[in-house]
Amino acid sequence: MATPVLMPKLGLTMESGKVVSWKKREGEPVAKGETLLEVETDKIVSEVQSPQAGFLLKVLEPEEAEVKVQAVLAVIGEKGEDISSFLAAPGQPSAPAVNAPAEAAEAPSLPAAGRLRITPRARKLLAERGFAPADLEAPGVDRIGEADVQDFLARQGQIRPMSRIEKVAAERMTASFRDIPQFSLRFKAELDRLLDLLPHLKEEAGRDITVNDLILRGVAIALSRFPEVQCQARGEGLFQPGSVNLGFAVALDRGLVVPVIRDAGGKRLAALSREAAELSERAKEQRLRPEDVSGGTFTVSNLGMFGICSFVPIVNPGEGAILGVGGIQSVTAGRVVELTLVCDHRSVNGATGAGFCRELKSVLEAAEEAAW
Amino acid sequence: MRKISYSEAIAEAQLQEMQRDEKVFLMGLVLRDPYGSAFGQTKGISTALGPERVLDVPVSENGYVGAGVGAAITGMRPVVELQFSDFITIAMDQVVQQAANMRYMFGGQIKVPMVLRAPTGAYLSAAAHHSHCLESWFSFIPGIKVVLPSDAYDAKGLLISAIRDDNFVIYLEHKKLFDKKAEVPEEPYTIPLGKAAVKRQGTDLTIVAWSFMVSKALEAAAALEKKGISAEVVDLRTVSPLDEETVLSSVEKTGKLVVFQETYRHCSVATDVSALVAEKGFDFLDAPIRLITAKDVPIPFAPVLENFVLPQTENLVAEAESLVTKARRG
Repeated sequence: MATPVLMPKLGLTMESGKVVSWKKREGEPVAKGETLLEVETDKIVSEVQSPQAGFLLKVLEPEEAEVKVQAVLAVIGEKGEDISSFLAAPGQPSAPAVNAPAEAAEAPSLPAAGRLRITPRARKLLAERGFAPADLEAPGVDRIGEADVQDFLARQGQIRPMSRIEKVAAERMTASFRDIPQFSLRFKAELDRLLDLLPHLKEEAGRDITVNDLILRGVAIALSRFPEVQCQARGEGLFQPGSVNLGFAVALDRGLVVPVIRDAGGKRLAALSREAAELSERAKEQRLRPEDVSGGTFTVSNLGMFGICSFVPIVNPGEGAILGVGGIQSVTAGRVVELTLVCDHRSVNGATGAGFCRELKSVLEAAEEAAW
Repeated sequence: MRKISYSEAIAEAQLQEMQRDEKVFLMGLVLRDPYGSAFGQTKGISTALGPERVLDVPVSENGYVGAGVGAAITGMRPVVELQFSDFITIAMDQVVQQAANMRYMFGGQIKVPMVLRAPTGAYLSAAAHHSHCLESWFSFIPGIKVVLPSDAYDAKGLLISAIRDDNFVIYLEHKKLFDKKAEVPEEPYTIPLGKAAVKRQGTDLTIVAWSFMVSKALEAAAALEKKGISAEVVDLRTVSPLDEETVLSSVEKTGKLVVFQETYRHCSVATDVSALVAEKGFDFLDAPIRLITAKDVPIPFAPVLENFVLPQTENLVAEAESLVTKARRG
């Protein structure tokens, strides 16, 4: 039974390959699995083995020829066999009817030569996800079904559309990284005194007060004293906000939002904490109103709860600086938090930023004000 | 709610429609009390309304079906009963040439508001003359609605719809269902003709059945559930017109179709349903369509042979299981 040798599909995106060199000449005997030729894709060179024992009856594609995937390269068979059906249209994908018996008879090692059987539902699902049936390798399966395609797709990874929040965040982060010359200032603050006060503060407030609440309170105080760090570049002017509208980043299942506490400079710890908790709750339930996420003048991003020591966030476009908060670390001196201020260098310079850092450090370390 | 049998539901539907509309009358073999028809489908009606609206006729199918067609085109609403649907062969000219064609051939100037009721089906060791299911013949002819209720509730609602319909309706009652009881409201209600019902929800495969086979399909679905297979059972209720939407949307959900038909396969409702899905639901299919039907021989008298020839619940369970297991192979 004459069997065609086909151009293999060696990668998902491969459409054709080049014949590099023939290792056998027409008329030579070949064993099953013996190398017949080498083919080259834009990525690799690969050997093509004989699908069965017999003679290399006909070479259809010369060296250097560019050949479509699944097209017939050569015919293997017994001497004297009629191979006219393979010669009709060289360079074309082989006709299924010709090859079907070969698949059924004795060439299970060459599924590509046979007609691929796939259910309509499976075929449609594949097409919807941008794949062709030939992309699947399904040895030992007499007909590819939806379950096989689901398995295949699960192994491919997938793209899902961005949520609206993710899309906005992506655009803003890209704009920030591309357009804002950012520099970062790293410093540490000792939190022993504040943390010692924390149980008492919770009791007094009658609710949970978090480390983040303390940081927000400290930042609000420091910002009222160093409002220059909020200065924003706007076209050819510099905008100095008149109040402290403190944003804090909240991670959602899909994306990130930054709710804003308005006039945070004048709010005491308990009020600030309550407002932050309410905004976080609304953010997680996706119930934030437009006014909850607009008008921010400074953002705090805290990854301390994830065990991050310190990190460099990206300035929220429209703001002058952002503070990255790491986790609390116990060191010999006591308990320390690492903080990183990232500033828009068009509107905030190093000295201003450093002044703010020094003030925030002293507010947090002195504890009294931040705890108030 | 009270439970009544399938034959009681048929009798009640006719009685209530006769009380509602004096143009409705019955015609057939021994319909009057005390006999009240071969399976009790007209029991009590002649006693309640008098013998003049329940006409007992000689054994002359071509004659009295023709009389029914004549009454219908001249303003009455006859419900004509054949003692067995097999004998419709004698009245075929009245059914196929007259009743089905007249409204069209007279340009809509006349209507044929007639119901032809007839017991259908096998599984009773009643031999080849009394075991046919001929719904496929009549589905083939334009101008005939073909209704096959699968339980007492559907029997009443579908029969009332059939009597109120201005077109010729063949209403086939399954002999195996006459004594089966179900909850049936006392007041009259209608079930639209041409609308199938999902009798059981499922996700792994769709079983399309009608008439007596629905109860077997539901048995099979319960057995399949124990094997972890979730079968959806669609009861066509009316095989002509066919509710394409319900069948297609079920197969769209499950990806697999088994048609479970009591009678022979060729040129039948089963092949028609599979053609529908192959034509309009091709992309939904995740396995070949399977048809489970009777073998191509006259229905035997001997119970062992009859059971061998007719499709059984176990055949359906086995086919469904192999269909779903192969698709799950992973």
